[in-house]
Amino acid sequence: MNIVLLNILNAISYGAILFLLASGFSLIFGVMGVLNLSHGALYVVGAYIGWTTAVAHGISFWLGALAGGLVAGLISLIMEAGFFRRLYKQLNEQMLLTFGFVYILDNLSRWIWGPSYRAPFTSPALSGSFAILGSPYPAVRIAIILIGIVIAVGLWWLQDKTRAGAMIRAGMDDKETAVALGINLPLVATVAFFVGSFLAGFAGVIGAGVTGVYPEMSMSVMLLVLAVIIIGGVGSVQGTLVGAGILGAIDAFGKALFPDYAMFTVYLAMIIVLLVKPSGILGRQV
Amino acid sequence: MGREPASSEKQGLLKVIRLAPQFLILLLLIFLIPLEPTYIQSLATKILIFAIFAMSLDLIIGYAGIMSLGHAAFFGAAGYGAGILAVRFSIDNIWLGLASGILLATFIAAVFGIIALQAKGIYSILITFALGQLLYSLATKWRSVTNGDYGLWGVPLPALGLSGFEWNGTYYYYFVFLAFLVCYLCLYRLVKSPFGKSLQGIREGESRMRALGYNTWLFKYVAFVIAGMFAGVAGVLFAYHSGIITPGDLAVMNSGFVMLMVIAGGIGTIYGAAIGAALIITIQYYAGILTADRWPLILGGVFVLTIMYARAGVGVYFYSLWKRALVRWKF
Amino acid sequence: MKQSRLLVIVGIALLGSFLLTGPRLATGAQQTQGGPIKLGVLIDFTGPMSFAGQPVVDGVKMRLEEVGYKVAGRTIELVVEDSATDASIAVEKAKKMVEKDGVSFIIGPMISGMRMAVIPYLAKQKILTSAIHADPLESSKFGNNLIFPSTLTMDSLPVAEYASKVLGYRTATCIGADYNAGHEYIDTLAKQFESMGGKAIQKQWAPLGTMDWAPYLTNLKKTTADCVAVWTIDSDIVPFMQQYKTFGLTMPLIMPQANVITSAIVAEKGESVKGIIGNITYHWGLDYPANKKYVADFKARYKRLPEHHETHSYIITSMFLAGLEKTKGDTSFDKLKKAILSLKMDTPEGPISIDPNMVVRANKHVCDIQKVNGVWVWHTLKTYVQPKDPAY
Repeated sequence: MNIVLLNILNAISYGAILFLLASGFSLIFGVMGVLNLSHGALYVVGAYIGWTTAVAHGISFWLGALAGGLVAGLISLIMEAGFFRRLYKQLNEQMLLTFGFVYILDNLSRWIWGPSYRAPFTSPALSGSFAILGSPYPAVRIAIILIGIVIAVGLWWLQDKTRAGAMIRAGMDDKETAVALGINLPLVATVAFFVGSFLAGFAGVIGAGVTGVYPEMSMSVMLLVLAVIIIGGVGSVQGTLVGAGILGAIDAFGKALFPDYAMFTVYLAMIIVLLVKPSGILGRQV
Repeated sequence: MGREPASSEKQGLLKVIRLAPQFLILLLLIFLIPLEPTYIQSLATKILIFAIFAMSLDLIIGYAGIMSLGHAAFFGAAGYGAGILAVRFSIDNIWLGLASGILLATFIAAVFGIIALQAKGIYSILITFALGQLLYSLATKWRSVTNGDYGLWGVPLPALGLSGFEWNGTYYYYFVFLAFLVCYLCLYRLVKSPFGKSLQGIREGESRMRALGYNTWLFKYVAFVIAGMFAGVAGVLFAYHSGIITPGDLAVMNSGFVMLMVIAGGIGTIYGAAIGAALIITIQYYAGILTADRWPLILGGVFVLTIMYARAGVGVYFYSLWKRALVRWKF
Repeated sequence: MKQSRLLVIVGIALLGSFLLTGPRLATGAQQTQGGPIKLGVLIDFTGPMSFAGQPVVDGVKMRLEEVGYKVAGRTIELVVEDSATDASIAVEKAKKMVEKDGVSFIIGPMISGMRMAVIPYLAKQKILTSAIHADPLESSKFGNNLIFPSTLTMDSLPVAEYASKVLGYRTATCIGADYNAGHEYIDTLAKQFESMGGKAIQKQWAPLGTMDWAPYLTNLKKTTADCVAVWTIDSDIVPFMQQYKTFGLTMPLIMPQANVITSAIVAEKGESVKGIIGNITYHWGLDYPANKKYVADFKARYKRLPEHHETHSYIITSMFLAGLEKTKGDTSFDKLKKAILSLKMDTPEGPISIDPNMVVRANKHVCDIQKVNGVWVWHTLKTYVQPKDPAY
């Protein structure tokens, strides 16, 4: 297969994983203004739930993905109702709270599932390769790209074409007016938090087909999410797509062309964007 | 209050009593800790080092109002500066080590500050995080200088310059304690000065201060660099204390860890950060002994509880209790 | 009057804080002749290396249970602390274990960097310590470090030799994790390979946590070499192997320190990881009499098969106990060190002996992955008997 095409597919599939990861975070940050530093931990919890369902109990992989999302969403509801609601509008405190949750969620996952590495798992249907232009390309990656596209389209449709999406955008842009117009912002926030966390858990199970699961992943995942947000901007599906795409491209081509400086290119890109347009390439001016 | 004018002796006595907590703590630190076994002294040394680190962060968060998730970059950089001088260049002089570490930290803070202050509000978290991680990846990759992720080990306690003087744990504890006192007094004077008051004004309402003609950017920038400098002091002392400096000491987890201390102790009061450091490190240490694998739950739990129920900080909370007691007992 | 009241207040305050700081009894210094012997385990239960914590403790406990926590008439107490994958915390805990608990021997910490921070302190305190998964030869200069199961060199030399002499490979392209351990293993392997007449034609480095090996595998597709030398941690090697296969690459793979692919991973993912020829210190199928009994006992006790973490700590504990048998329970540094140096034992990893610089000589095995009796396992191709690091 043409090497360039291979690299492009790599960039897209990696970007798709990043998009799944970051879209939930962007939604939460955009609507609630909260940097949920435990987003990575939710991704990992989702992955573990998926593992328990699909591998330990042999139930359908897709049900596992659903379960992973639901459990992550449930945890977010507990966080929101039990803690965030009492710190209404105190964004810094809420962010710090999520930092404390990272310690707790991370250690709880280790406690329940043990600290060992779980090998990648996916639906049996996806464990082979597809022939693309005569060369084998992993099926699970193609599935990730497709799922990423479906979710991106779904979120974009939700954002731009539905009343709920309009309410969310209104909440992001101008809270006072939104409330004045009768929009139930606390409900919108809760729903956004749930949906964003569901996406994290779901992404965890899907992405586990490539990465597997282990506790430290929560930290490395969180760093990637922050990179996507910084580069692409917060609060819009397009921004997350751009961020994920650029990061995917940097990863694929950076590693191919400048293998020694892979991580650097990511951080440099972040800093350049932060200097030129602090809210990200397609970010809303929050 | 309607009290009869007090004699100067009585006034002196009153002053001492009002300062009783500070007195007690000083007594504890000066006389009692050195009598403890050396591993306790070592823990106390670490607490004082992180107290300096936390107080410096409080200058940024609590006074200049900039949320930073990259403060450990200055701490770690200074540690590496001192460590490299000792290990790679074999320079056996603690003052040169301190100077090189602090200078390096200040320089990096000067550079980072220009970039970090571009961001508004919560974005400063993202920028400072990115900058800190950049330095972390540099420390990990530049193996020939920093020895990579293993860390730069073999950092000795360099010579004080006094002939015949040999370091031991207790002497180093006193050295760090003196450094802590100096840093505390400097930062205390700084925040009580007009500069410090202006900072607070900026934190509470930047546009108002600008309307009054203040160059708010400059104030925040100077505060950022000074904070970086003090973080550097802590970093050098830390490298000498542990005998090793690792990339993890620069990373976001360490930045978050020291932020925990500032929040737990009380933002916006220099002493609060010091108390927060003592609290968090003590909890981490003893929780770790209690349960070798579940202690992060305890630490995370304490932190969550502090944010929910003692938002002003545990240090501030206890100090306010003391102040109320003073009033009640008519001191 | 006021002054004396003040003095009373201050006095009470002093007494209060004195009491608050806790009893400062003469704890500390290990008791060399009588009383309980304290064995310390300093290992990571939190942080990126936390997968090692419980297994290492399991191995120690199993051995201690076998002797009823007694040796030479003295009881043994286990002191376990978390090194939190943090060098400064490891140093702190080491101080506590030596000065408060009075340990005579510390197993761990695991990571070389952390060991280099702790060993000098322990040397000054005259306390013996042991590596769990090899140490650089440099660490022998402190005189208190048992380098088990051998120096780092031995994690790659056998497989380098096998690739070069037995399989006849002449060229290798290398991929390693881009951090100290990765560089150590791959650079060492490459050097050894070249010293035997081979050539390492390319080196790629992947950051830790690389989920997506596509860029590196794409580079590999452009390369022709007799083999691929790879090393990274377990969470990265499995995706690597799976993606290697699905990218349709066919070059044979050799791997130093292949124990990161545990028997559990092999059993679960054998189909994906087969094709690796690895340098293995321990797998549960090793054909030594001591191992057969050990594996059976371990399985009965813990309901799982032992990996290298638990087996190494088991063997180290055995050495500690055997040394104490020789000194009749005397834990003083010089006597215990001399006794341990004189040991020759049969262990689940084969026969061991110890060189004067405290480097252990243990067997190494070059293995591939095969399906035996329906289970994917490591399968020994060649055993190297107590090889010696050529550097001394």
